[in-house]
Amino acid sequence: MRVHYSTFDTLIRRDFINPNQKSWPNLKPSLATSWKRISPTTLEVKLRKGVKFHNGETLTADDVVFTFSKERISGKKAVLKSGRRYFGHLKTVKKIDDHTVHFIAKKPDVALEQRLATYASWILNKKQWMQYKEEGTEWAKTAKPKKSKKKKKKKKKKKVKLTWMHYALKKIRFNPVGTGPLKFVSWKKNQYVKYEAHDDYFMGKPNFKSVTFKVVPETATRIAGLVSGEFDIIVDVPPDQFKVLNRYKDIDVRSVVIENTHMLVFTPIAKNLQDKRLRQALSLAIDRDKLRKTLWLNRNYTPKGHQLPTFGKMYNPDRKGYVFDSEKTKKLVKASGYDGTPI
Amino acid sequence: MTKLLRSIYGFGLALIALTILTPTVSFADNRPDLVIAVNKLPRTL
Repeated sequence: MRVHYSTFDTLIRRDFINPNQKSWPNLKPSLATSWKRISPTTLEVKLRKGVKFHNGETLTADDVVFTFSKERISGKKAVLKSGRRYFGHLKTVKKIDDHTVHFIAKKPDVALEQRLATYASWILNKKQWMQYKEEGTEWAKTAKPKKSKKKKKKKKKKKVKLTWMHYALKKIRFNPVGTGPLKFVSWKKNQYVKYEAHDDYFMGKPNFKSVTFKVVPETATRIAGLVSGEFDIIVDVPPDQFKVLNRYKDIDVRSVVIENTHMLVFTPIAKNLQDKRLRQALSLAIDRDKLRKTLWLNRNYTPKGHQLPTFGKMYNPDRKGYVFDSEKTKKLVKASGYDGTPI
Repeated sequence: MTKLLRSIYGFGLALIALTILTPTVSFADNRPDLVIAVNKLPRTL
């Protein structure tokens, strides 16, 4: 996923390097140069001129309208399954001129600008997709959805009607075309993915010739490779290894707090979790601060409930959040009548 | 006369060499080929 962020661009970019952790995320222009609300439900977006896709095409409003089309992202039968989670509330995306687009929502949406900065909003090249429309339409007449390998559930799943877009998606999956600094070259499953520099990148010519992301699952091997010079950059370094790496003068360790929340989700299926008091006891038994300080060396924070400061005006700083209370835990476990059987 | 011809010949050769070498020398891409080790990759692109 994080690799794709450098292949594709969004209209609005969220600045993760300089995050605004006390209010709304820091939103910056990307493929859009500016945006403004012209009504509670309409956002006007001005596009950057002269942006080149990896295939040499120039970005226009047609690419944006295509990216957010009902059949691709926002409609009930959209080809991008997760698209409706982000844009199911969109009424339409309208081209005003070659470099102006209106996003019109069914209801006012305070987070629309933020949605345009997510992975669901990577801008695609319409021309690349449309070349598969004709043969894809023919293919869809006879094609059947793939049978799921997972065991059949009791609930019947709705039948997916395949369209030319499913065909295009199959073709394009191994030839992604975006506007980002990384231009796809080759890929080998679970081994590597190679990119070359997109020299027409709108934010400037990249300062590398190529980038290869190599899969090295073992942390120790990644660290050894960085020290020996085999790798230029490594990721997913556990904080307890920071001290080791900081001993090397030519190695720079950097980290940023990301908005991932670790959750413990209670299943209603488990019979012995039916009692609310036991579920409360489980939550009270977790010393989140201790875990955080031990595993992440105090580089992050314990959120106040299932919310983050970047929710802006929707954030409640007075919410007490999760607490650790071993005495209360014991009382609640006893009161729940839990007999010790495995959960 | 021979000296002059030799000079012209030498100058010509130098000019040809310069023409051939200039693009390769001054426009050579010296940017690095980076290798980034990751623990996993997306299952598909």
